[in-house]
Amino acid sequence: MAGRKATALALALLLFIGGGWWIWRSQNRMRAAEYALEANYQRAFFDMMENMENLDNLLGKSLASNSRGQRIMTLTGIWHEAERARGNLGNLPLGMVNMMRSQQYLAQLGDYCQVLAKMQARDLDMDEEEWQQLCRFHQQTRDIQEGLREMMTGIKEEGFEWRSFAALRGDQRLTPAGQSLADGFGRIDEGLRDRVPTLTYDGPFSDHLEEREPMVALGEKVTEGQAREKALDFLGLRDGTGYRIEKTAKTRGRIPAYSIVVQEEKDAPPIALDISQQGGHVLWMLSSRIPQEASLSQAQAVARGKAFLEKQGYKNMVTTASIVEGNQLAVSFAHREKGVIIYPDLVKVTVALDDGAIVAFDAMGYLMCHHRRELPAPKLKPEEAEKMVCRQLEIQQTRLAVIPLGTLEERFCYEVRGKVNGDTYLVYINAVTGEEEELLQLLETEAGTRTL
Amino acid sequence: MDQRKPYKMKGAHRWRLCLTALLVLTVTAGGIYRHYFGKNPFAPPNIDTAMAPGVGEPIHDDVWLLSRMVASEARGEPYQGQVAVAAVIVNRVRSSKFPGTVAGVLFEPAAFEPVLNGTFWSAPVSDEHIRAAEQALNGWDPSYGSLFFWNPATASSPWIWTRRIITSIGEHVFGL
Repeated sequence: MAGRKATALALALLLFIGGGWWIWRSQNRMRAAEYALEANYQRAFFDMMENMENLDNLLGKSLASNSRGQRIMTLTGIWHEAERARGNLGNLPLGMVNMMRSQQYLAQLGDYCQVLAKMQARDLDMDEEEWQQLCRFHQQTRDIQEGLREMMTGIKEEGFEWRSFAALRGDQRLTPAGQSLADGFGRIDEGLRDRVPTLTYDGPFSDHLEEREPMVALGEKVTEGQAREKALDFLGLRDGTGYRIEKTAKTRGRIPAYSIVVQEEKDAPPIALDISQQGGHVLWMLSSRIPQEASLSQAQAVARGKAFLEKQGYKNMVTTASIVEGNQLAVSFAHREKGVIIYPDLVKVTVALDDGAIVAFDAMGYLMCHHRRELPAPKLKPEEAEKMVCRQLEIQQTRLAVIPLGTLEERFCYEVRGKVNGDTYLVYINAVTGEEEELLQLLETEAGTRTL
Repeated sequence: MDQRKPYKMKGAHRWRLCLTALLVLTVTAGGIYRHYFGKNPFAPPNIDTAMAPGVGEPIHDDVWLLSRMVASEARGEPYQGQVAVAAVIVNRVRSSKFPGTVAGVLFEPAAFEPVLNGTFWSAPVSDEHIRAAEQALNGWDPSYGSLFFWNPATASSPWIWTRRIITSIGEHVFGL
């Protein structure tokens, strides 16, 4: 009797102690995780403060300096510091405040300075406009820094915890300290709304690239019915009877299109494709069929892709890269005009390695960039271009090419392919000025080639 | 009369004892099981050997991350919708308004629900998801440069509707 009571008591006690220990341990773990998270956020914030201070300092120096070497150093320093600031900003749990303008500001600041540094390296000095733009960047960076400094004071006084931001869900309210911080960031971002002028320059983040449109007229407007016919024609289904068109919708992208989904039979994997409303071009096609065991060689697959392109009216296309992924081969083709490879005029085709069918197609690059180009006669001879490349490069091939620069600009170059230290590179030497415009590493594996 | 009461108590006692013991056992066994055999939510459920990274091929890391995103955000969507979701991530990486790496974009605090609730790590990745991720990295973009996608049925933020809508595929709307 008493023994049982004692056992029950002991058991209850054990349960109590065990439970207590378990709760204590989970609490400890949770707290450790929270502090680790908090430390991460605080680091991002304090680092960002320092990035902004360094940016202020470097911008001032690049305005004050008159030495080309010094300027290149400070300008590339700004680029690195701005990218770091961008990374730190992206690490802050500011889900409730929209910081896209600040992100863009930092990206453009860095990008712009990198372009200036490149120009300086080519002995091109800053003009008045560019100097003024640097001044503007300097002032704006100071303003942002001031806003951050204010918030920093608030954080130090009120002991704000960043993780309370991260834990915020849906309609939950912020604490007063949190609210003032969120407002502070909101003000910084809002402050950049009107003051970032539309910035057009030579970098990949330049504003003019966001609103780009196709370089040539795509053609007359087509009706939905014509687009459907075009889709069936493209898939080679014109006289087949089993297919059905599942749905048609309209898109409002850079090239407005009809979206069409075709299914050959009831349970067949659907094929989606977009047909441009102007001209009825197939913009892209994606088949959801997953290719099975490969039976075609890569060369056979490339030939299938090329034949398909010719059938679709893409003449004079040459293979520029290919890569095996699973049981399919993705091949890039570029247009060739009078022996010159036009890389921007890009069409991509994915060939299934089991039956050689085309499972994906993309002509957006071609349709956005293709236009009549007036290519000048190269001023350099191929041998002269080969003399411009790095001494150690064992040259394998030299040919003429037009390359995109990440902006809308293109360059007419000699493409010199060669090996250094066992790795293959493509060096692009401007065919008119002899300048080294671009340098790519070619990754050659069994699966295919990629450029880095 | 005192003879029967303890007897009854004894029966009740036995039940209570048994129950307590059972409870203690369950909790302990559960704890031990969880500790030693429990599923680690961060352990990837299926690593495709075909995706084992080749030397110097950073693109494989991006495929790995992106296919996980497709698996957790675009499960059950039409294939072109899966490619579009992966393409939005690629578009963000290239955009000045978002971090410049795939990991930076995906793990931006509070950017994507699956990363917050852990399904990013636990959702099973199929061949189709991997294929969609590869296709997006190869430049296919059914979203035409969109930077956002949302499900009109469940989107909680009114701000998202201020975006310019480009297209809609399956359950998702894509916009700039």
